[in-house]
Amino acid sequence: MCKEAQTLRRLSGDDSDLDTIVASYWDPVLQWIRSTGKVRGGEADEVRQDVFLRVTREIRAGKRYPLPIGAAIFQITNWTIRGYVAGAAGRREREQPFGEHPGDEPFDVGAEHEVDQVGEDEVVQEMFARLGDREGTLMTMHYLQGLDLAEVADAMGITANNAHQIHHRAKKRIQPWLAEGGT
Amino acid sequence: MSDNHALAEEFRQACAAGEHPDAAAFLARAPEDQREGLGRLLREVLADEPPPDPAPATLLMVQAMLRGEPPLLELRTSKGMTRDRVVSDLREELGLEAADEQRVAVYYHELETGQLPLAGIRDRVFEAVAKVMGVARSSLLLQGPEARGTGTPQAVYARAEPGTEVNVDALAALPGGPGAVDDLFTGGPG
Repeated sequence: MCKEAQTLRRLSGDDSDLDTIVASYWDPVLQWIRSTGKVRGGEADEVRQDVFLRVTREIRAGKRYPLPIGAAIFQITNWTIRGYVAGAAGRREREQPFGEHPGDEPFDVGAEHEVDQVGEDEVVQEMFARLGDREGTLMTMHYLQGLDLAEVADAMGITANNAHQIHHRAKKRIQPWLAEGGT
Repeated sequence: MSDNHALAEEFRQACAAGEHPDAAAFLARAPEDQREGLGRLLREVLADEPPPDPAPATLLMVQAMLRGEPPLLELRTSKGMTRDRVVSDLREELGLEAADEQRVAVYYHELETGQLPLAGIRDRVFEAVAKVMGVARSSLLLQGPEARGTGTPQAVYARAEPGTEVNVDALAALPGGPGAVDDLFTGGPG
């Protein structure tokens, strides 16, 4: 198993893993940013800071990326550069609710794996969208962003019991769609 | 092999050798109309190569950052260097006069406690700080004001003595007006 996969598997929100990940990618992320030629000098350091602010916050919140951690970090770096160049740096991003960042696209999982998981994610996202606001948001945060139901409840400002009820109701609504092949 | 592929291969070998190659310096070696293509090749190298084992100094700074403490302060104290000595070495490294030392000290304090926006700092300062601290420039972990959210925000100031937080008053109280020192620390990228 490659080193990255091992690290990803060990990821548990434990800061000792986080230390190693951030320190390992600290230098490569700066070079990634500088290779674009879009930001210079201290601006690149500022973008790097924003990248790792986001990564550390998400990992600590229990997020699991759908691709190896290095590839996820580089994709987040691309999004952060785009936001920075567009004048939407850090400040605006940090005001967004968890998982909603301007300029984000779905992780390009297909770039790292033979299975085109991007397509699968899109189908699932569409299905969750059909559930409506509350159920769709909960299912997206739980299944696509990797938060447990207590964290989802906290993020949505509802009780844990309510989150479990919404989750149960959403699953019951989805089952017939799955039986019909997701249509 | 095209020039771009040769440069990318050189970049790969430097990465593998742990030499911290600077991607921007590699871009500068290519004709302007080929830099975008070279940038893509360099990113392919970065994506393909396993990340290097972090230098102990980088790990130390990252651990401080994640605890919400100033990484540069952690690095300096781990090396047993006084702030006065760092300021003095930094001033010399930047080619400034002895009379500029107080002004450098003010900015260094801001830098060390994460109060100086990184985008305003000239490349020469990053390079000089890295040299004085004995780390690669790309491994240097400087924090700007926004980064204090990585840990416990209040902890950034915990080790600063009361009343030592720097503001424009501190600079205004120094002899002489704004000049080269201010430009180095706030003049913008480049």
